[in-house]
Amino acid sequence: MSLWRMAWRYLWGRALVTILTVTGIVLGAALIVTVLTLQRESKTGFLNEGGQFDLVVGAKGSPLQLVLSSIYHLDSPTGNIPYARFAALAQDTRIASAVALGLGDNYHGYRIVGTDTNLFSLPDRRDPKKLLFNLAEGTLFQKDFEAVVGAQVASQTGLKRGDTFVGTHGLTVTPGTSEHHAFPYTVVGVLAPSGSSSDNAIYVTLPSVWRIHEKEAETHRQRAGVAPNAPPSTKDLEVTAVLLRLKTIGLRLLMSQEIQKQTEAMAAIPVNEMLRLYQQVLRPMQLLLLAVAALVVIVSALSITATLYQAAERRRRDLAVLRALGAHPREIFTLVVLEALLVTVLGLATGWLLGHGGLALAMPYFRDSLGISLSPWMSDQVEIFSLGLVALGGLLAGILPAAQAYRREAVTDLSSN
Amino acid sequence: MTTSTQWAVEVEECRLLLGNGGAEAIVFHLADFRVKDVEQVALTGPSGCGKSTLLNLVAGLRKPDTGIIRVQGTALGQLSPAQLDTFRGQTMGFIFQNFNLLDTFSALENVMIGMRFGRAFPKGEHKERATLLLKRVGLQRRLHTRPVHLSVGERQRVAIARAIANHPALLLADEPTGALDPVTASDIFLLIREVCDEEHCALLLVTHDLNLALQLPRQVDCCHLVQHHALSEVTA
Repeated sequence: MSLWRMAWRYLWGRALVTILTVTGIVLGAALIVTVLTLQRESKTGFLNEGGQFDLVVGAKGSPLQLVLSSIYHLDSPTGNIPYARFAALAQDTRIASAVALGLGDNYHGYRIVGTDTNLFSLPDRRDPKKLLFNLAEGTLFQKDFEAVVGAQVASQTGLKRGDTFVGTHGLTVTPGTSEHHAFPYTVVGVLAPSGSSSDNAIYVTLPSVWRIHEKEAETHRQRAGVAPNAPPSTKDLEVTAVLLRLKTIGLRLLMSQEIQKQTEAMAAIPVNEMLRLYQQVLRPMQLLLLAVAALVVIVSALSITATLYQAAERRRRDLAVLRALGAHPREIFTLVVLEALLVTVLGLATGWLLGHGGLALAMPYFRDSLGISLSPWMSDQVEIFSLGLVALGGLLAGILPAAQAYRREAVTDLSSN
Repeated sequence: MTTSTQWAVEVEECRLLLGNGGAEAIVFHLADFRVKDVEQVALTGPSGCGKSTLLNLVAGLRKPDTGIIRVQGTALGQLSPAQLDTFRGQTMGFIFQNFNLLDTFSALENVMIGMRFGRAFPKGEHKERATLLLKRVGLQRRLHTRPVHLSVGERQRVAIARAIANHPALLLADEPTGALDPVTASDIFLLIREVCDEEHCALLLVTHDLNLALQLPRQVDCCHLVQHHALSEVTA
């Protein structure tokens, strides 16, 4: 009978205590796996999405707010900029593509984004053979008040091709806000799920947004001394943000500084803003969670030490008998360490399965609700290193009781019976 | 380190300090003592006379401060701890009053574990020999039963099978019938003698029961072998 088998049998000889000890390791490992995977995937997801555009141009304010509102459909926009600004950028030969966005309304909390079909012809920078946006069914909008809805919008609101809906003023659901009943939208297409913020948006033409808010704009014009009912000129039109892809990525800083000099607009580099957000907000939270996981593991390791120590004490007679039968002290040491190793490995393997399995099960939730697309079964070097540390901790936890058993004189325990 | 092998056990003037070396310390003095190959010896004497200590010294579980102990011609004091463990496992078998079986394992596994650490037989033969020995001691139907579900007599039978599993040259039995009723004690005593004859091993059996002791060819009164002195007397 091998020492492995003996260690295993001894563990099952005290099944309840073993299960409780293993459970501690399982929880610690699962927490580590979950936190590290979410950290990696959310960072990758955020940066990938932010990396689709080199610059975002919008009204002066917080650059992070501008990026969050125009790319991730989070937070409030910083304001509007003149349409002429967009037109000028679109003419700039250093710019590969410029897409204007107009915000102002929502449907059940999902933002209605005015834009043009150029957005849907952009290639995906992660895989240039694919498009950034792909239709699951229907067509792109051809005319005003036609809408293309994101996958999550479709699944959560039940909107499908041919359905009509009306937008509500504002970017979030606020009781008492006016609905634009005079301007219903018709769904003409549904986007395929992408695991990005586009799943949670409704895309329409920019003029649709302008027309709905024309009355508001007219009030502004009246305040500015323009004759009532005068047709709006392009000088009056505004956009919320402009997404830019540059011909050369090295121009980002230069163009950003150039735009910064314009009084009515600013430019933000999405990747930089998201990295800053990640470092300042998400990373400390994740580190906190990792600290909790480390604490769980340390408590588990102490639990292994206490359990094995007690088990070795209770088994003093057994270990002495083994010595009398010819077992070397190092074999006794190995036997006790193997018990710690088995508990740790069992806990780690189960924790790994639980962590990754849980993420796989929760994948639709993360994709649909948070816009994070996960690779739930992937383990990176950091995770392997962290779990390796846990394994080492478990092993070390077994060394104290093992050394105790190693040092004991067999005759003391044999004669005490 | 090896001399003639006509003696299973040779003890030459051993002294062992018992206690922590303070004023209460006792010096255990063991006079010359020998057991021939295949000889069966009963070691008798009142409690506390040093029978078990003698057995532990012969087994190498205790190391004398002075003197020499040889088993099968090998001086135990000259072996490294690991060599001594291996030697003990291969050369000696133990039977204890309280059986000292491993409760986590079945009867068969108890014998196989004895063989695993005895290292006298190839691993592939362990199961077959352990089964054979358990059948020999009458436990063919209890191979996979754990000790807690065995009667005390059956437990001692498992202990006997385990003790002879490595085909030892010397069987050390410390009050093997002490926890048994008279009928079972008699059966177990006979079984021990039989297996020693079959396996050709010497027997050093500690017992309080003079009737059993007298059934063995030789009896040694431990009181004649062992003397206890206060440390202060020895050092004066």
